[in-house]
Amino acid sequence: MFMLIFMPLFRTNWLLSRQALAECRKIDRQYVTEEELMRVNIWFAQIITDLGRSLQVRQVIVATAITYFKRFYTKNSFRNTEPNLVAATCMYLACKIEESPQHIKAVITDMKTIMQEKGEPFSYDNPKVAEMEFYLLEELNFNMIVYHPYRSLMTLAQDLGTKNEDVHWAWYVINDSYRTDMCLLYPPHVIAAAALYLQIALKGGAQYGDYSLTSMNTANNSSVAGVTTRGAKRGAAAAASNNNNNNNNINTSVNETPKVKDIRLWFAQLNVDLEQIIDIVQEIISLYKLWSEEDKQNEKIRDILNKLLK
Amino acid sequence: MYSFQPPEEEELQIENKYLKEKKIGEGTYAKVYRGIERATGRTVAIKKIKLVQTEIGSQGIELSAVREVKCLRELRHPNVIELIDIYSHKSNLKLVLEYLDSDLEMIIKDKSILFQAPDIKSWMLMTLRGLDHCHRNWILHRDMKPNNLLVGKDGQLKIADFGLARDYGDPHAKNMSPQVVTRWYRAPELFFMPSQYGYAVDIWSVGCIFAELLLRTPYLAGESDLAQLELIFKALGTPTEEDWPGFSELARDMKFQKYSRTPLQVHFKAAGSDAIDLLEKMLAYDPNKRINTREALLHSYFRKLPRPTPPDQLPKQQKAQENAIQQKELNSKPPTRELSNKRKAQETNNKGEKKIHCS
Repeated sequence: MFMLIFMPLFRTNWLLSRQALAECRKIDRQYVTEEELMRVNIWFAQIITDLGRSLQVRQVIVATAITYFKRFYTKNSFRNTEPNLVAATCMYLACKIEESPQHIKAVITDMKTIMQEKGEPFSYDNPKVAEMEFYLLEELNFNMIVYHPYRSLMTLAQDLGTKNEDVHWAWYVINDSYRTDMCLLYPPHVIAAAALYLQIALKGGAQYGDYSLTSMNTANNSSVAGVTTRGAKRGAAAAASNNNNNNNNINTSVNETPKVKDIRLWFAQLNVDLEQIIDIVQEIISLYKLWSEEDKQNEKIRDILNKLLK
Repeated sequence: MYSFQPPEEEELQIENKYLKEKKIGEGTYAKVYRGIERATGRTVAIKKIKLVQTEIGSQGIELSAVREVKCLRELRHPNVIELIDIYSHKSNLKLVLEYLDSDLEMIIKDKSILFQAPDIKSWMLMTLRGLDHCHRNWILHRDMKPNNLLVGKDGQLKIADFGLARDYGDPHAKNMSPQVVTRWYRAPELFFMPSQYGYAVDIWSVGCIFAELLLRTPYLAGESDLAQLELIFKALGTPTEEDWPGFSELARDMKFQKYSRTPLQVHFKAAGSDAIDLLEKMLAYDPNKRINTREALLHSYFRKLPRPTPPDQLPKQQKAQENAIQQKELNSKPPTRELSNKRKAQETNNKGEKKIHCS
């Protein structure tokens, strides 16, 4: 049996149960629905991503900034804070922590441009962001190092022997997972396994005649959504039957192609709860659904934000 | 619409937990006070970090302060300085750290203290254990030197000053600054301006510390970056492509005199063969071949007799200059800057001894 060694010092104190998370959001839930709150989270993750792109920082920094943002809002409500300021500060701190410090002015200038494009003013200056940094640090309990699924993904993919271009897929899924609450609920290696699983489910789909995958080259979000949804559903079913196979008789799957069997065995041997993987996969699928609607209903987010922040 | 309520009450509670005694040092980004934890009576160091004010206004918290907090928050080990508490007050950040009144540099320099082989083994063991803890938690220290190895009244050695430390989680990190580690302890690969390096740089520094413990004087005390490299080559032989694959490519534009390698035993006459072997492996040119903390801790040097001295029986200074230490921690400069005049003077003084060991 193989043993994979994951982060020896992953701090579990930042992982919440769904109940605890719901409790954290009680104040905001008085004003908006659960689904609307999901949209708000997607919205701010997008703002932080845009800011990161504009500052030309690495993906890991964006991921760290979004994680800070989410952790901050497990202790505070949108209603009582100014999320745009928090978002900019998260990016500023994340750059520092990931050893690519950005000038505070640069962060503010880029944030202003981005918010202008979105039709919202960003009217904070240096001292405000610097002051916010203090509060942010405190709310983060000074835990600044964040572990991300990317490294686990590389370890897992290497172990499985996947090709490099395939891993890109899982990589994009991980990027997208930051728009959900997954980084608050599950440790990074489980999210990595789920992303890899989604990718394999897609590959499996291609084997069984789902050709839409082969036309996919780049991460066009809307089409990713479509394909992922289809592939993942099939994959989720496969995982369920995989579970049964393992419980009843592992030899029942002899007539499968060797490659598929390998992957199933591999996942079965992985020291990760399959229930959790399925939960993450499902969550990401619903993200894509919501997200693709987002394009059409850009106005809707305004209404939600007005409800939430006024 | 928005008002932030810092948890004032909590802060006051922490304020009440510690009694500030007196200021023991001030640096560019912090003031250090000695204090007492009221509940236990234990002495602590309270480091008050200021906000950086530049010509364009506030820049938030200083990077080295952020690094220190970030790393110490992840670490807990008997041989790593403990961050006991941390709290913000107004626009100040306060770190409550363990208070230690001596460091290895002071001990090495105090010629009234006699070192026995088991003592050196004990300090090395504690250093490597602490460093192993850092590395296992993906943290590179990047400024290992005797001055940053604090020693408590109980003899325990603790790694301090994480102002240059960074987490090394991302194996693809390409933006790493080669301007790290105080020159005398800087690994040879760092002189070739790499954007990527690893745990091996800390090991090299520990190797230099090991040598310094054996010699009672800095082993490779170069006066400039180029002189440092020259000195390393003189002491350990100019590396060949075999010693360090890729070296000739690195040193393409530089001309180095070819020094042949003298066995370490010649310079370190008093050291046993196990000690020499470990030292050799720590000072290996090829970073990939350099021993890691795990392997070093399992090295026969630590498994064979004599046993390391228990920390509380280690030789210590008669009268520790208690202020010196925390102050030094503060003043430790980024290695890119010039050494202070005091240091320069020392460097010159050491020249004579250097010749004996390195010629």
